[in-house]
Amino acid sequence: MHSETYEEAGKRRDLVNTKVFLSFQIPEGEEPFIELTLRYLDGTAKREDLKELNEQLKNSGLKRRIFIEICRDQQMIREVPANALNDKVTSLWVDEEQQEAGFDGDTDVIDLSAKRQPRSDYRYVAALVACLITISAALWVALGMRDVPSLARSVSAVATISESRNAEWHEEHIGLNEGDRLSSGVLKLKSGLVRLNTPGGVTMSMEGPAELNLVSESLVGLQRGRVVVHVPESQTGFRVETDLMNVVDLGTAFGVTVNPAGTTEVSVFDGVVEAFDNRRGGAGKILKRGNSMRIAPSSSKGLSTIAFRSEPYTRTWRMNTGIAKTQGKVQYLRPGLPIDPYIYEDDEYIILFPEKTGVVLENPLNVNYSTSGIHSDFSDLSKTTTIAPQTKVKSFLIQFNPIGEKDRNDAVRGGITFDRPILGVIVRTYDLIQTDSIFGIEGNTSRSINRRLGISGSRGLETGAPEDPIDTQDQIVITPDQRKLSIRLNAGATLDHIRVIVDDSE
Amino acid sequence: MELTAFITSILRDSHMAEDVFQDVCIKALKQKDPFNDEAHVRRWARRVARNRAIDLIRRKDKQAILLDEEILELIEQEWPEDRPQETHVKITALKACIEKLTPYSKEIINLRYIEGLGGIEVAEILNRKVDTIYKALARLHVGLRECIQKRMKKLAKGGIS
Repeated sequence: MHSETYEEAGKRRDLVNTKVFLSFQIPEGEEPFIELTLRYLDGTAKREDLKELNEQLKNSGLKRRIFIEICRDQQMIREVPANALNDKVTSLWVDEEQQEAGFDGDTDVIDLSAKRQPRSDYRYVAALVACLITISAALWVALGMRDVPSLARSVSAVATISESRNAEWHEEHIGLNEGDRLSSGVLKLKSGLVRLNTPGGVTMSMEGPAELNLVSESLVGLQRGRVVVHVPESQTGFRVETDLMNVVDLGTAFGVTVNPAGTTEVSVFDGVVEAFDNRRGGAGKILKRGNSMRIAPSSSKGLSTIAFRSEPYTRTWRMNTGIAKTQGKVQYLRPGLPIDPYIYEDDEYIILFPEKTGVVLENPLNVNYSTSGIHSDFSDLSKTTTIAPQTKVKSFLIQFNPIGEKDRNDAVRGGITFDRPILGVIVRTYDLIQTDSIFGIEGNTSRSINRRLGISGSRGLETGAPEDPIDTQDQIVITPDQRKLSIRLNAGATLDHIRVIVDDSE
Repeated sequence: MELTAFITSILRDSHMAEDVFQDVCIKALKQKDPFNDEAHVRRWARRVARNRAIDLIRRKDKQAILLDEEILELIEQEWPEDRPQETHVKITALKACIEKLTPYSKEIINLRYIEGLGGIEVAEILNRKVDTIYKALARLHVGLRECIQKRMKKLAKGGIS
C-alpha cells in the first residue's frame, strides 16, 4: 500500500486549508466569452469587441468571475517553471485538416487544443502519411541520391552541429550533441530545431521532423521537413536538392520545405536563387527576395509561383541567425522583409534586425558596454572598451522608431536572448555611425545615414531629464551570463538604435 | 501573484505590470498612515495599482481600448483574496497538467504566455488561422482548469504524488 510522503501530506493539508479553490468551475458553453476575454487581454480586441465585453461584464457577475479567473490563470501559467514546456516542439507541418482530426503523432499525451476523434481515424491518417513518406523516399532513391545508412562523427566533417534546441533524434543518432562534426549521410531529426555549420560558413537550420542528406560541403538533399539556409558570398552555388526541385543559391538566404505528401516549396528571404524542376528538366527559374515557388507530386504544372510564404520559417530563421528568444515588445524582423531599418516605424514594438555574420575584425572595435549590469547613464560614453582584432563576430541592430516625430512620455520594454555571448553593445550615435560600414547591410550604411538623418542626426540612447519618471527613461541590462539584453526605450521625437556585437566563433 | 495578475488584467502587458507592482511596493513603504489589517493593505494596493495602470495606459494612448472604469471598479472589488498556499499548490498541479499537453498545445502556451506574443503572431508562427488559435487557447484554459481540479480532488483524497 502506498504510504503518504511528508511532501504529499503537506500538499493535502494545504488543499484542505484552501477549499474555496475547488468552488468555482467555468460552466459549459462559455468558450466564446473566454475567446473574447483572451482577445481583449492580448490587445487585439476591436472597438465592437470591447463594447460587447463591457456589456457582458456589466450585466453578469458570472462573466466577471470568469474574466477574473482567466486573468489569474494567465498569471499562473507565466509563473510555471519553463521546463514544463521544454520537452518537444510540435511537428508544425502537419496539415491543418490532419491537426483538426487529432493527428498529433503522439497518443500518449492529451491534446486539449484539438477535438479528439475516434482512434480508427488516427490510424488511417497516420498510415496514409507514412505511406506517402515511403513513396517519397522510394522516389528519392530512384532519382539517384544514395543514402548513407548511418551518420558517423568524423574528422573530415561536412558539417558541425552548432546548436540544438529541444532536439529529439532518430534512434540511430541518439547522443548527437552540439559541437559534433558530421560526415556525409542522412541526418534524421524527429522534432526540435538544429543548426548546422559547414566549414565554408554555410549555416542551415532544420526543424523536425526532417531528414537531411549531407552529401558534401556544397550540396545537401532535403528528403522531408524544413530547412533554412544562409550562404555567404564565398559559397555561392550551394545546392539544396529534393525529389522534385533543386535549388541553387546565387548568394542568399532561403528556406525549403518538403511536406509529408512530397509537395516542395522554396521561399527566398534575401538575395537570389535558381530553382529547377527535376521531372521536366529545362532552364531554372530565378527567385528573388519575397518570392516563393511550389511543386506538387500530383500536379502536371511543374514549378508554379505562389504567394510569398515566410511564416512557417520564423523559428528556423530565428535559430539560423542566432536568436534564442525574444520577450516583451521585441519583434524580430520576419524573414523576407527588407533589412532597411529606416523604412520601419512602430509605436509599440522594438524591431530587431540581423546584420552581418562571420565578420573577422581587422582592427580593435570600440564598444560602449561589454560587461553585465544595469546601464542607464548615457551622458558620458567617451570611455569605450574594445573587442580585440581577429575576433569573429556577428551583429544585430535594435531599433525603436515611433511613428512620426511626436514626443512620448512612456517607454517600451523587451528582452533578447542570444545563442552566443554578447561581446559588446554600442549605444552612442558616433560609435553607431563608425560601425555602420562594418556591420550595416542594405539601408543601414553610412551613406544612407548621411542621406536620411544627416551626420549630426541623433540615433543613440540618451539620459532622460531629471524630472522624467525613472520608469520611462532609456535603460539596458546585460545579464551576468552575457546572453541576454533587456531594454527599456523611450525614443521621444527621434529614434533609438542599439548595435549588439555577439561572438560568432566556431 | 494576485496583485500582478490584477494589474496585468488592466495593462495587458506583463512587463509594465511588474513595473507598476514595484511602484506600488515603493509607495506602500513610503505610506505614512498605518494600515489597519491585511485586508486594508490589499484594498489600498489594488486601488493604487488600478489608478497607476490607468494613468499609464492613458498617457500612452488616449484612445486606448480599455474596459469602462465602472467595470474595472467592479472587478477590483470582486477580485479574490490572495492565498499564497493555494497558489503554490495550484502552480504545482498546473505544471503537471501542462506537461501532459501535446507538443502543439505546449507551443501555443509557450508562444502566447512565455514569449509574450499576441494571438495574431502566434497564428502566423504556427501557420494557423487567428480564430483557430483563440479557440485553441479558450479550450486550453477550460481543459487546464478541469485538469487542475481533478488533480486537486485526487490530492485531497490522498491519492496523488
